[in-house]
Amino acid sequence: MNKKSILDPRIAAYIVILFGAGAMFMNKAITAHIFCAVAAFYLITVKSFKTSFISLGIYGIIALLMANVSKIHNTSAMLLLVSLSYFVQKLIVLFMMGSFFTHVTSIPYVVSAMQKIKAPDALAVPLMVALRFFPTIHEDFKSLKDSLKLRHISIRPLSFIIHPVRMMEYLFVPILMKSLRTSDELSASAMLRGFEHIKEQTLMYPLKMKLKDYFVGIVSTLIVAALFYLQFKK
Amino acid sequence: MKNIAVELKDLSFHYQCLTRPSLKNLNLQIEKGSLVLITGASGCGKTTLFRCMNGLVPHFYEGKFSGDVRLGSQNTSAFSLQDFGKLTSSVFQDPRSQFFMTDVENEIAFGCVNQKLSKEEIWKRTDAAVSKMRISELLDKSIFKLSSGELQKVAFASCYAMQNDIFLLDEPSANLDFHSILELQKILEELKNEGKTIIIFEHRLFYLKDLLDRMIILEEGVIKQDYDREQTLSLNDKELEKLGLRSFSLEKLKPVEPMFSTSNNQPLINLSDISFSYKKHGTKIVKNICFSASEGEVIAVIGKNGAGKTTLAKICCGLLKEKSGKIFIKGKTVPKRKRPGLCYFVMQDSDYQLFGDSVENELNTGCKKNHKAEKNQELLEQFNLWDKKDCHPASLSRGQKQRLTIACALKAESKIIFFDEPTSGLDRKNMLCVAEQIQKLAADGKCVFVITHDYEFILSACKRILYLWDGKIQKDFSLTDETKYQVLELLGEGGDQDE
Amino acid sequence: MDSIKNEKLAARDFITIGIFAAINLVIFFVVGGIAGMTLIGTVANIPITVFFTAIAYMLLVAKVRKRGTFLIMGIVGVLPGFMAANVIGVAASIAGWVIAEIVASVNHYKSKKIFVLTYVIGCTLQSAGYTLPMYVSNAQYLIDRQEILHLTDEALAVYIKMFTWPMYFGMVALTVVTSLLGALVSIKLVKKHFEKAGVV
Repeated sequence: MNKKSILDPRIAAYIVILFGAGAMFMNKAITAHIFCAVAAFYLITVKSFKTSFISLGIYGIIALLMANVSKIHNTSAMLLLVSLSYFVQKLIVLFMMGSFFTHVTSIPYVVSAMQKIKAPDALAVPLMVALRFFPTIHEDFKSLKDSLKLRHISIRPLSFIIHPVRMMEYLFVPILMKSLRTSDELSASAMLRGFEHIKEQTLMYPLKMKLKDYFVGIVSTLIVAALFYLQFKK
Repeated sequence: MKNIAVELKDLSFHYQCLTRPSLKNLNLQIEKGSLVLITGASGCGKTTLFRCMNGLVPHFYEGKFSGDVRLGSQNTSAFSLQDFGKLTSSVFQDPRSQFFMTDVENEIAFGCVNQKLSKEEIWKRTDAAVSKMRISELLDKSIFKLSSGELQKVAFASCYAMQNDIFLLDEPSANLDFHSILELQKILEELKNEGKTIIIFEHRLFYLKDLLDRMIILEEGVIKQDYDREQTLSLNDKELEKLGLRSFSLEKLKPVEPMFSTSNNQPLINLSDISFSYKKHGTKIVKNICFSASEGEVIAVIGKNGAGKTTLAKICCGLLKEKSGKIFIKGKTVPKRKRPGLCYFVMQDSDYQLFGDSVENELNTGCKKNHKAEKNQELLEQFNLWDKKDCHPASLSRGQKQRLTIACALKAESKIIFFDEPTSGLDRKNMLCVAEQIQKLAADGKCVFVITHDYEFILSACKRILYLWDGKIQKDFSLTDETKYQVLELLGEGGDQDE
Repeated sequence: MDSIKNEKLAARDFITIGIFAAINLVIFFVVGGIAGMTLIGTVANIPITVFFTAIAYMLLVAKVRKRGTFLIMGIVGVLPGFMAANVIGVAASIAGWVIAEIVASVNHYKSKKIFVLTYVIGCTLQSAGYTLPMYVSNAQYLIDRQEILHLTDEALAVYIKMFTWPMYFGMVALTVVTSLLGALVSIKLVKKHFEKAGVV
């Protein structure tokens, strides 16, 4: 995430929440499918082709399976499968919207949004730091895996089931150990450069809702409203 | 009227968790505009003194603090950490854990943003800092993709933008390669020309030779020596060694004769046409590499960042799969899955190589059940760690951790061992200790490769030099008194390879 | 390390919490992702992940023994729920962590046993709150699709009675067990490694 802002982060957050709340109610086949298509469309407009096609693909496969599910004779098994498919399909749509969010905005603008809505330090700071930290943890995991390989300790998904505590010792403890030290250094460096409260910082990326933001917000609201109507009309 | 930037009176500090005080009744005055080197062996109190000058002691680290710290004419007893930050700028050892933002521009502006300056002023200062540090090409890069040297320049830029007059640097060269150290030297020169007061806490001395005005040597929390520039430069290498310090003049050093004689020189590893790229048709990072090495050799692997050194090491150790070519060990082809174990890789960061809850259990990690107790005592005694066998690895000093990782390599009975910057941040004594351990490994018939840019270490331990450039072996020669200048030249060509 | 009674959380603590929250989320995604590849793992996703995220929580409170730590950590931990747009679930989970935080605060962040209790309460309420909307709408979903699936009224009612609600409460109960085990194991690990190394 660098420094882009296709949409005001507040509108982006609104859209994600709107779609999310809506997704929970789209239970008829037709509304659920339209919903998925809309989510994919949003992703395509921000040029996230790979994610949208993969998600659509998985959703489509499950939909096909569901169309033939009544052929399973064991009612319980069939219903279990249906429920599971339901969860997965919903998650895919929600995941697509989450991905949309990361494509339309970036951390500096999210920070600005938090300053604008006067989010408390207690939430804004941990959130900022957590976002900055993910890539670092990713790198650390990679080094850790290499190290463990050299010690003939393989990390396989099965290991988590057979030796969960050992996995915690080999993977999580080293990362936590290093993070303890890093948290001290990072805090020291930040505080020595005057960091104390987010609201005392200069607003570097002023946010102003543009016509584009209002437009997308209104259109999204109308789409979801239309789908609600479709879902609940008798 | 004296022009004093920093004044310490009767300064003492005792960390809460340690048994001995770290600083004892220190008195010191540092003049404005001077570049002062504060040095000493590991554990002398350098880092504590650094922390006292920027307020981390006592505001961040708990303990018993007494004495006065004055910055300019101001007494800091009522200061908060942020107040210290308005007068002093600190650059820490590890550039990777200092940055707060995720992009370069905002990171440089961070200090100014916290001071609530106007947007225009902030961008003005950021631009000035960027041009001063000559990092305009870094502005578009993600901060996670920068090398240590580049990150450190960003850290300097961030401090420069705050326009403080006092710079405090804690082992700034510890995580830098040779080329980056030369760039650091240029930055320090520029800052000094602007009249900034620079106080450097360091082990590595050679790059400060032309810049320093004064050298202060600490020992066990007290000032042992206080030399002015002339006295400092008149010290010869033997005297520096006695003081536990590294050398000033790299050109004057000579390769050290091996401590142990090696009897057998059987060929051990042979690489035939090894190539590697991350993606199927992506840029090759390693290109058609062919070389062979024998038992008992200690080979320094040098080259720019991105030249392929670490990638090559990982391929040999079975952590990456080569796209083409074969690796032979003792004449037999060894597929990737069989290489971990035969080859071992000791990484730079020992935090990710120690997993046990005690030094002894560390040696047992990953071993098969019936191998467990064997050899442990022998190994730990060899590395002076037997008395620490019940301690947690995380509580060891840097040098001790390093030795423990080598002990683990020996326990694994690997024949070929790769080291990645084993001496970064080590003082002379510990660096020579590592050199000795590596020579012992070679004497035992192992083949050792060391990825390094530490010239003093290369002279102390290595006999052969492998220079990588753009994924190929550009030069492969023996280290002698004549060829050592070539090594220095190749190291200085460092920097970052274009992606 | 003695607990500090009336000290409030400050910038330094927020940064520490942020780092641990990041680790918490990474563990959540990695473990959750692996578990999600199996049938049981998808259904029991939260109970499984809270076992492993316990160590991030227990270590954090060992280092930052101040009021509010659990709450902030819990809130940041459920925020991916926003990414998955489960708004109601997130709100309910936050309420759960508020209750848990009260327990820890009343004790002034002193006792390790109370930490375990706090974690169990927080995780259980999170699990209950977060998955409730999914289960409720699942039941609705099946009702809507009754015809397509050729279900009789009876069969549907039986299923909902047998599977949907029992599964929900079963998972919540399982969360109690796994979070308790996770917290106990984590406290042991914190002692074995971090206290022994002297970093906490």
